[in-house]
Amino acid sequence: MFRTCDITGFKVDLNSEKFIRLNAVMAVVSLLLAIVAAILLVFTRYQPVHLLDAEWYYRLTTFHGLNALIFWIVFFEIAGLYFGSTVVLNQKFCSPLLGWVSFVLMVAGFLLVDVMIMMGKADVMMTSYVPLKAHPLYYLGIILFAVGALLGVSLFFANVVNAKREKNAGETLPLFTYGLVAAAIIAVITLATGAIIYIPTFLWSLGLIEAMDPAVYKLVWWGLGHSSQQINVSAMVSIWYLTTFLALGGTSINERVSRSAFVLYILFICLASAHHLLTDPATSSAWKVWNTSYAMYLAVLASMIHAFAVPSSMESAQRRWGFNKGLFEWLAKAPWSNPAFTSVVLACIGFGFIGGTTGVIFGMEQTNIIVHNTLAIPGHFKGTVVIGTTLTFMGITYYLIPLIFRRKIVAFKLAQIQPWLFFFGIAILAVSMIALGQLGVPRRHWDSSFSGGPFTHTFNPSVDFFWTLMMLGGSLAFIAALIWVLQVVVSVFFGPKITGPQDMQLPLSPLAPAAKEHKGYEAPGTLVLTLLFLATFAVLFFVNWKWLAATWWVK
Amino acid sequence: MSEETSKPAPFFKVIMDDIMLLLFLGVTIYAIFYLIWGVMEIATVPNIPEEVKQAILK
Repeated sequence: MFRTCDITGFKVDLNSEKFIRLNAVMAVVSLLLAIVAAILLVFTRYQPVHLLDAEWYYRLTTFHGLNALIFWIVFFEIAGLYFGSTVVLNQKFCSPLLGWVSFVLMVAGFLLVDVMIMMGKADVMMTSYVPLKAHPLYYLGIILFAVGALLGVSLFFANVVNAKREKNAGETLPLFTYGLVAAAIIAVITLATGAIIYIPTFLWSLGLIEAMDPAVYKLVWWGLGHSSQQINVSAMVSIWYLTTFLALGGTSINERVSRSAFVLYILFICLASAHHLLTDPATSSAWKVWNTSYAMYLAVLASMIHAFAVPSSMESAQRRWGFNKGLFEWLAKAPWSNPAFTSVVLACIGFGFIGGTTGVIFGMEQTNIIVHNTLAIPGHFKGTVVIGTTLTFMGITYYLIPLIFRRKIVAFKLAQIQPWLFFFGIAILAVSMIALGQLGVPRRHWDSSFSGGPFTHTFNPSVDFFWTLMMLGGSLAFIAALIWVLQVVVSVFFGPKITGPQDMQLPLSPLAPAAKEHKGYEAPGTLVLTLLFLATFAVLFFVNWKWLAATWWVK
Repeated sequence: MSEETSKPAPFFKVIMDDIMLLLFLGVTIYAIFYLIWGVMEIATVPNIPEEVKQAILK
């Protein structure tokens, strides 16, 4: 059964709408749990407070990792996949029964994992490296969640195939849905790898398998752990294109190139999992260098293409709307009052300047050695997964609330500030963590002062400044995330109902008009911004090589 | 049917629009270069000599 959206004109399958809502609600619940754990962890690592004891620190690190990196992200992605394969394509949801099976499996997995962790039966960190052993129900929970998610991804593929067969998808899929196809393919790779490693680990925890090889475990596990974050990248970039279209009526200035970049993701991005084994002695340099450099750079190339294509599509649209003065009028006159647009622009900046630059530098075998297993690594993925993916998902939710939940956004002024607060909070947190890591502070460590330990180490005194900065950034980000969660919950459950287009707080732009004339570059402002990015990257790149050169005196 | 619509689609467009082919290529490249190559390298690491092992375990 369909309803016709009186705002977008899309035919919305009510079954699909229900599953989008359910998965989105679970995503928000997971994020809430993740941020509560996160703030407790921040105040534990901040030595003057040192809030939790060691046992609870490692327990909540496990809890935070699973809820932030897996549950929040995957629930939201499944909602996004359903949206992209049904609402955007005017397509019926192919199997509501299997939709329920997928959702119930994922929720059961989520509950089992979280309960086991909080009961203290799975203090194994997110990676659960063997021979650390958790309760069998913990592994079973992850398997159930992964099977449910894999089923959800299969339903996405079925919806897309049906849409193509029923000629609802047009000759070629919309770019947004095409990006989601890339995300879904990466999800298949990721979840299949998860099955390869978690099923034997589950049997091992039951005593049915005698031993697990730690080196093989680590290699296969990272095929799940890192690749799962590449699903995010693809889904996030798809949302960047979607938001540009919704907010400005902009489309990629060369859609074929944007699609090619998604294909590069499909083919090469999962190989980057090898970063995590760069200091492991069991694999050769050839394997490491091929997977983390040559092949991965093709995925980096894809990100660089998107990093140019997304802002250039914004600029091109704005210029066609008449904002043509100088290099940056298009940016100054952008719809900054639209929180979805603001979120995407800030996510793009944070993802590129913090997550992207550090990702390439830390991903090289040589410069990785300076920061491997230090706090710089979570600092890097705060730049990718938190500023990039989470802020993007937060932003698109401002469209989902009126369009899918059919509610107005409560306290809209707050929504306009929230992306800025979150961006600055996480940016301060991430940069502080990267600086701390560069100064040698270890990650996943309850007490980096090593008090009472057999070994001691005196850090550079500047770490105290960065610890304080990290605590302030973390607190600001926590407040911003809490504002978002409260706003979503209050809007969805108690917000005024949408009665028509007049209630839409976020404008939906018509398609930008065709250019009247073509002179020179279509997006000169973006070109300047891209050159600025490349200059920043070059500086950071050479600074890291300089640090590496200063690490040992080579005669 | 006009001449334009009967023209075959460009090769790369055919590949890029074939979801199952992209799935196959994505899984295969990853499986060969990351998983199989990596597991083979770990599997061929020689066992630790017994005397070294005993010395460590002592």
